[in-house]
Amino acid sequence: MIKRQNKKGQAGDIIQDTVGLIVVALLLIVFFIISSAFWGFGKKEMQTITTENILQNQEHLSLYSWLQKTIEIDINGQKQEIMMADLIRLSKIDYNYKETLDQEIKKAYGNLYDYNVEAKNPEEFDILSYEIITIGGVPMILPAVKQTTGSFFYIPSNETIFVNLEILNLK
Amino acid sequence: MIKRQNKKGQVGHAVTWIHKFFILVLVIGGIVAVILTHYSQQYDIRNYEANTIARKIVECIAPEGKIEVFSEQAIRDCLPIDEKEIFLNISLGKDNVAIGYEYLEILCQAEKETEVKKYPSCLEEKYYVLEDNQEKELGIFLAIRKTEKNL
Repeated sequence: MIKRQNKKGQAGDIIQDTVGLIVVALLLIVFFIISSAFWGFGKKEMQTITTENILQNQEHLSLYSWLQKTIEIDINGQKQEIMMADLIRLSKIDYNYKETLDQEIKKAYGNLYDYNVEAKNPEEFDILSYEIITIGGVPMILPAVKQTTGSFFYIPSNETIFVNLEILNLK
Repeated sequence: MIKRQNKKGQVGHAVTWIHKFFILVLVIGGIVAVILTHYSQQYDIRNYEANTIARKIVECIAPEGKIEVFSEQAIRDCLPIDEKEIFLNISLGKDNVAIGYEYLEILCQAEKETEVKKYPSCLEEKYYVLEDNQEKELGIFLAIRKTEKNL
């Protein structure tokens, strides 16, 4: 009687282990599929990052060199040589220079890219919410602006100006 | 009688352990197989390499967006280029410098129209730069073969 019960017990053990093995195998497959679906396969992910990097390089250098370019413009009847960064400042003070600025932007990037250039004050950005961020141990309330792609440069002025170049396509 | 039962019990115990050992091997083998499949994928990192080479060259010939010297030698001095595996075509306005295996450029063109199995990785960039305050277009075309290591 004991012998028979032992045999039954052993058979139960084997069935239990086999089911356990199948469950473990299924879990492995499920985790593998989930991890691939959430984080993607390596190749795809690397390709995306690189496309962004390629554009960032071009945006950064192209905007930086353009901001340093000097042009001659008429200020109060006098011809003066100023940098593009100064023309942006000027266009914020006197709206008449906005047309010259737009022409210069088109002249610079029109043949190279489909682009988007913006010179804005922080309050002109779409503020989504405010966040408390600790900088050097001091808590500060900062606006969380809408994520904008492209390269940013800060132009020191009476009012803060951010210039942004976003390349949409190469021509 | 007890002795016999003990012997049988020992044999049964051993048989159960063989079964358990088999399961253990299967589970560990499965985990190893899944990890190996996931991480032994060959990654095509040529686009990263192309991007890095292009950035190095631009930073070298046009630091801070201003062209200092534009010549074949100046580009060659920037970084070592494996001419059997790379084709580099850099244009500044009307000037042009081509270095490396030119056939790769044809393959890059062909890839746009047909499906090439062992294709090179192709990169095209355009920069706005200044040369003596004159605006210039700096174009970079880069093709990398290295199919054996990446595909």
